[in-house]
Amino acid sequence: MRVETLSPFSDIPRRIEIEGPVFAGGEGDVYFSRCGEFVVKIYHDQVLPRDKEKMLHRVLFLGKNLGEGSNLLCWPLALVRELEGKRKIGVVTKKIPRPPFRELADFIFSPREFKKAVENGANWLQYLQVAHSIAKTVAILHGKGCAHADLHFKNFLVDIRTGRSVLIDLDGLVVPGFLPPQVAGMMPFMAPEILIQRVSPSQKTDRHSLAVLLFHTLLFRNPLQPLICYDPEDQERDEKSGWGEKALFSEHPFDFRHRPRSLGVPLFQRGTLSYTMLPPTLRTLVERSFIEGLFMPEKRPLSREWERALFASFFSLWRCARCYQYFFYPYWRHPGLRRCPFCGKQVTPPYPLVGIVYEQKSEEVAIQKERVVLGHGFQVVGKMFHEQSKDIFGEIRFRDAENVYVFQNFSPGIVTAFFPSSFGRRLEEGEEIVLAPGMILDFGGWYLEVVEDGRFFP
Amino acid sequence: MSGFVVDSNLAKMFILEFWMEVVDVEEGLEMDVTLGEGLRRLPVYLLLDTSGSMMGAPIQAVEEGLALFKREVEKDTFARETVWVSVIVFGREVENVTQGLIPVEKLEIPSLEAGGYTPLGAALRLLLDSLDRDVKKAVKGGEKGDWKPLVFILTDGKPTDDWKSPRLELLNRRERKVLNVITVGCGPDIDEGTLREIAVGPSFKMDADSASFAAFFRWVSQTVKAVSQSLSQPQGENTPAPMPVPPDVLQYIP
Repeated sequence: MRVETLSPFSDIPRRIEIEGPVFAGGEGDVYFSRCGEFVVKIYHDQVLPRDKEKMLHRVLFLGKNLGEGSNLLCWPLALVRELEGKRKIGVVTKKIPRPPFRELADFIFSPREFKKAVENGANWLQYLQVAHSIAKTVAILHGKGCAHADLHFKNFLVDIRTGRSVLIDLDGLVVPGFLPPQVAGMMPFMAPEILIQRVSPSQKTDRHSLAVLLFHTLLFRNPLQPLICYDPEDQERDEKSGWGEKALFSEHPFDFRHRPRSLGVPLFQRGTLSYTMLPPTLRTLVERSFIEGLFMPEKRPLSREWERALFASFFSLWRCARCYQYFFYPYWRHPGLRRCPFCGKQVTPPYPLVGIVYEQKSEEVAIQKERVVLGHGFQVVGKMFHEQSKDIFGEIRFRDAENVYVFQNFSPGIVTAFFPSSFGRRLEEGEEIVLAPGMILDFGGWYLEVVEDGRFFP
Repeated sequence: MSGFVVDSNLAKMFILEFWMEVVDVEEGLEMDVTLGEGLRRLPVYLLLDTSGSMMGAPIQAVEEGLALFKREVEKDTFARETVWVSVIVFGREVENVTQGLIPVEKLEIPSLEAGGYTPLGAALRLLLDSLDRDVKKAVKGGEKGDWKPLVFILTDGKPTDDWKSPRLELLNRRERKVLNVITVGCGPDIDEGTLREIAVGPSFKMDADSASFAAFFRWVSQTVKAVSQSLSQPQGENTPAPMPVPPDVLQYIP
């Protein structure tokens, strides 16, 4: 079959040969192009909103300058004008190769999917990369003033081996005053106010969906999963109130109705991951999304906040000696309670270094940023301080014989070490300096204070 | 230095675009994981005719069809985690082959033997038993219960025993109700009127060749997949299940 396309902003062939339909949905049929490059979706005429074509035009217009988002978003490239000479409405998008890409649900639906991925060589680290990539995608979308309105784990295609993700189904975008809401979403990912008062989707409801999605990606369960029945007569009403007016965070501090029984038990021992395995910044965001902001949309964290917190969290990873999974080194707990959340193995000495990053704001003011966890062989990179930086300042080494960590300087004339006794010294190239709690390394506007050195725990 | 993992460069992944490393999981480490709590199951009942007239190619086609059904459903994440199956055969013997509901991955394809009459009524009785025994009931403030079961009946003839009273019981159940009973007749000997009467929902007829059986089971698995997905969407439930377009070999009986 052949479709005629219209593409004002990109060079898509005017005529595309298609095969299919490969998938028949409620909204329309999906075809693949014969060249294997495009996906074509043709809408059913009878369910089409009146000005769908106008809306699609606007979506197309919004996708003009995507920049770094062009790899993260599968934006519509062209409109369909005719199918086999008949007037039809549809969109053309890039085809995402599957495999390696698969639906996110295939990796995170339950711990079983995680187990399968681990057996195929994936690591929890890649899940964190996927979560960061999802947050970034939504942040780009929100930065354009749009809301996706239908975020869930079937709309993200993921390549788990490289931790990349692509958002699809962008033909239902919402822009206030510009594009009216068209879709409602999938119940476990919908903000409660949509189910209660039929509020139309917006960025605020997207923030809820994003928080649920990120939680689901990292912990393999829905944070709001109702565990008890509210209406034995009618299952639909039951689901609706369970996700809607009776919605409750599974780890609410006082209300235990939806608390999983095996919460906190290591995942590989038939357990359930708790959000307390996340570092404090992410934990705060979870609490803001599901405790404070569950029924108060304005309190929900922005997508950009998630993205920054997830990026910073990469520097507090540690690796389990038993199951080889990366996890957040729980420096916020007593050393004896620091365990791998997956297999339950206690962290063994030598413990890593834990430092605090400070940013100099003015001459007198330096603000505290995230903590970083450093072990033997870890590089101290500019990324710890600033996302765009590409510097490498030096490396952390563990000296076996003396049982101490040292910092080896790579960058002459930049790094200054301040000792607890308050004098500072500029480090030479290749110089090694023994790290101890209370020491501060100055990287020019950025500071790294050593809090724990593997022997001393404040 | 036991338990110390030398991590050459975690930071490297921020400098290199692609960063990959495959580590074998330690031998002896058992990864015992559970399915998430609070997920409802979707019970699917397959009532298959194994009467004498199914002897030969048709009964083999049904077996192959079951294998196809299992493969197709397992491919879909949603369906794999939510669908529980029960297979009831009726012919010389009336038997619940799976002994109640089992997860679809545990379904072993039974070797079916054709013979005897078409005791659909007895099969419906077994279905009723299994509904009472295996399907979880919702309790207010307690367990959430299962989704409403999907029932498919495949037959190639007229029922030879009393099927009206068990069907009436099926309809009049107050709890653990069945909303969808889909009947499919194959071959020339079917009685369209009876099929239509048994069904709660649509009923179909088709030929008794292996291509038709394959198409039928593929359609069943598509329906199961579609239903398991639609359940998480608002406006799912009490409306009849959304069904994918049946293949051409299935003819709708009006």
